[in-house]
Formats: sequence, C-alpha cells, structure tokens
Amino acid sequence: MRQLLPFCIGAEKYALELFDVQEIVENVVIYPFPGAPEVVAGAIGFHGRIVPVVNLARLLGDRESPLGQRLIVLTNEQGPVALGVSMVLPVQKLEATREQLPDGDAENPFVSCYLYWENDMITLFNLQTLRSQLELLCGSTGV
Amino acid sequence: MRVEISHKFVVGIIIVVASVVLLNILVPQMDIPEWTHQWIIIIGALLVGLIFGWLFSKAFSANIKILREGAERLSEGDLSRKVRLRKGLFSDETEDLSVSLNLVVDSLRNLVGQIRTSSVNVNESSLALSTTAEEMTAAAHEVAGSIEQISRGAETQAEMVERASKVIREMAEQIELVTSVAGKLSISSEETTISARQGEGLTAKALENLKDVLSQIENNAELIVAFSEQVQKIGSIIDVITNIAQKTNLLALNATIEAARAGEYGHGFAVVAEEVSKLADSTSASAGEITRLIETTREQSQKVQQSMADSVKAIDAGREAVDITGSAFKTIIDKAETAQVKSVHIRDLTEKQRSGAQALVVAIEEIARVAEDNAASTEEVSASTEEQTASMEEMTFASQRLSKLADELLVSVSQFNMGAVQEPKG
Repeated sequence: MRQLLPFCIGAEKYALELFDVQEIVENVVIYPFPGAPEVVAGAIGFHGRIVPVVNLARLLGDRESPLGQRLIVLTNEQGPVALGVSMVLPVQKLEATREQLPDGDAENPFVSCYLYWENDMITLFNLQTLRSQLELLCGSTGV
Repeated sequence: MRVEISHKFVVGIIIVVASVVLLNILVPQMDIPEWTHQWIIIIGALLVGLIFGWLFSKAFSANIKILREGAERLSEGDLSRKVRLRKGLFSDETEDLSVSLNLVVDSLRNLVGQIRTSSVNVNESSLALSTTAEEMTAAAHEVAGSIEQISRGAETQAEMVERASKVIREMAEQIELVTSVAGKLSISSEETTISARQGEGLTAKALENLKDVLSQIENNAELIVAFSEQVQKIGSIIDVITNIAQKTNLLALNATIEAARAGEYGHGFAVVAEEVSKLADSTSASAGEITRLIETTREQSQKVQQSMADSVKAIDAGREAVDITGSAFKTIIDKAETAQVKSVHIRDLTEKQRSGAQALVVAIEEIARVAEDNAASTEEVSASTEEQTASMEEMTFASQRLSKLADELLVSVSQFNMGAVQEPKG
C-alpha cells in the first residue's frame, strides 16, 4: 500500500510519497532572502533550523497562483527544504497502482511518474529534478 | 184779363156776325146799286172775318211760336232762357203753357245743376275712390307680400317650433335622466358619507393597529439585534472551533506522516491519526457548515434588521399616511356631507326642472299647435288678401269706370246751356 500526500499547484495536482515528507507546517512566517531567486520565497524557522521555502508554482512557471497557508517540509534526505504549494490535500492510500513513466523530453521534468488506480490518476512529483533545479539555481546565484 | 182761346173764337164769330148785321143796316142806306149790296155785305163780312181771323191767328201763332222755340231750346238743352210771351190784353192758355214750360226749365235747370254738381262730386269721389282703391290695392299687395312673408315665417316658425319641440322633448328626456342620476347621486353621496365615516373609524383603528405593530416591530428589531449579537458570538466561537479543527487536521496529518515514517510500528498510531483527521475534518466541515449557517443567519438577520428598519420607516410613513388618510376622511366626510346637501338640492332642483320641462313640453306642443293654426290662418289670410286685392283691383276698375261715367254724365250735362248763373262750382 502506498501513501501519498497530494497537493495542488494552481490547477495542477501532484503528489509526494509520504515518507519523503517530514511535516506539514501552517501559518508560519516566511522571511525573504535578499538576492535569492524568485522561486525561493524565503526561509522559515523549523524546530530551531532555518529551512528555505521554494515556491513550486514559480518553479513550474506559474506566476499567478499564490501560496497557500500550509508548507510541506521535506525530510532531511530531500533537503531540508519546504515546498510552498497552493493547497495541501488529505493523505491518500493506494492499494494497487499502475505506474507509467513519462515519455521522453517532451514531458514535464518534474513528473516522476503517473500512478493509476481504479478510474483515477495522479502525478508523482519528481524531487530529484527539484533538487537538481535548486542546486542549479542556487549555484548560479551564489546562495 | 184772362180769356180762353175758345171764348176768343166765339167773340170773333160774334164780331163777324155783328159786322154782317151792321153792314146789312148800313149798306142799304148807301147810295149804291142794290145788286152790289149783297156783294158788299159778303165782302165786308169776309174782310171782318179775315181781319179778326188774321189778328187772332197772329196773336195765337206768335205765342205758339214762342212756346215752340222754347220747347226746341229745351229739347236742345238750352236752359239759359225762359219762355217769355208778349204781353197781351187778354191772356189765354198759352200763358199757362209758357208758365208750365218755364217751370219745366227751372226744374230741369235745378236738376241738371244738381246732376252736374253730383257728377263732379261723383267724379271727384270716384277719382279719390280710384286713388284710394289703387293705394289700397298697392297696400293690399304689400299686405299680401307681408302676409306671404308672414305665411312663410309662420311655416318656418311651425317648423322651428316642431324642431324646438323635438329638442325640448329630448331635453325633457335628458332632464328625466339627470333627475334619475341626481337621485342616485344623492343616494351615492349619502352612502359615500356613511362609507367615509366608516373609513374614518377604520382609519383610527388602523392607526392604533399600526402603532401596536410598530411597537411590536421595534421590539422584534431589538430582539433581532440581540439575536444577531448572539449569532456573532457563536460565530466567534465557531472561528475558534474551526481554528482548532484546522490545527487538529494538521496534527492528524503530521501524525499520519510520522506513523508512515514509523512503518509497521506506527500503524496503530496511523489509525488513530486517521480517525483524528476524520474527526477534525468532520469538525471543520460542521464548523464550516455552522459558519455558513451563521453567515446565512447573519445575512438573514441583517436583512430582517434592514427589513425591520424599512418596515419601521414604512410604518412611520404609513402612520403619517394613515394620519393624512384620517384627516382626508374628515375632509371627505365634510365634502361628502356638503355634496350630499348639494346633491339633495340638485335632486330637488332637477325634480322642479323635470316638472318645468314637462310643462315646457306641453307649452311647446301648444305653441306648435298654435303655430300650425297660425300658419293655416296665415294661408287663409293670404288667400283672403289675394281675394281682397282682386276685389280692390275690381273696385279700382269700377271706380275708374264710375269716374268715366261721371265724365260722360258731365259731358251729357254740359250739353244743357244753363247760362252763367247756374254753373256748378268745382
């Protein structure tokens, strides 16, 4: 059984594996970084640590959708980083799924795979692409 | 001395006989032959007879001649002279005849004079009569024209009177209708007065009811305000509950994450977290439902408050309107009472008017009959006037004829010579 945490970026719906998620925080103050790229909304205080907040909508090229009240804090293996999304949905448990990998370079690089069950489908967010994109951005800006 | 003619002949015969006797005495004494005596006596008797016969016949024929000439003058119309016989010693019947003839002349002279005077008078009178007759004829023509105009006027009058009669009958019918309507109007105005009084009473009651309703609405408004405040407090509590539900949801979500991270050891914890999450979701949904209900209730209460305020304003306006209506009803009552009095007056007047119209109809019908009679009489007068005109023309003609006859009579009378003394005047 797979447990996923779905979330929305604008009108698009993505999901993360639940073991990649450290915690969901709500109504925290985001402190902006001077000179940071626009995809980095700022940083939050998370259990005594400073964790950067990535605006996934900006990262995916959506400049219109605002951030929601909740942030998804990824595990240490994936960051640490907090993802700013439009809306965090309740945890979904999938008993039997069928995975389909994206086709070639024409697909969205942030799509890890498509999960199908019953008559529904969800897009699994690719954290590796996220990490590489962040490293690329942070390396170019010197943050 | 008067001696009749027969006596004069007897005297002449006696004288002849006496002369014969005298000759018979005288002649024998004369110295003449005897045979001549007889002849001388005869011749002497013849001479005496001739002399006396000549004298007698001369005197007698002279008077007869005078009488004949007088009769001829009389026959010729000469009345200027009388018969005058020569004065003899012995008057006879010729004298009586001349006297009688002169009496005839006098009588004729008087008669002719009177005839002439009368003829002149008749002529003058006939001329005056003719002039008068002509004037009367002209006047009769004028009268005839006037009568004809009067006749036409009478016909027009009769026609107009007929029209007027028709109009007046229609007017009488309309007045009848007006009278009926005036009666109904009087009844209606009385009913209006009663209704207005009832309306005034109802208005007073409505005003009292409005005041009660207004006070109830004000109380209800206060209750609604208090209810809104309570609902607002409930909303605040629901906000707290919603916040708690969100926190609980977040905690359940994080607990689910932690349970997932704990693997098999966190399974029980995950079940609890899931239930907590469901409770939180249910609580949040209920809180959201309550919030929506509160929001709806608040909107409804605000609408009710607004409606109450509007109702209060409307009731205030209604109270003013009812006050105005009450005063209007008083005015209506006054007006209605006045209208009732006036309508009763109108009804009485229209009743009188109806009676007057009926009398007028009767009068106009009488006038129409009189006008028709006048028209007929005028036609008769016109005919009479024409007859009178014809008569006047005949009279004019007759007077002219009379004048002509008088002239002819004058001409005839003028043939009598009456001398200067007996000329008629004029």
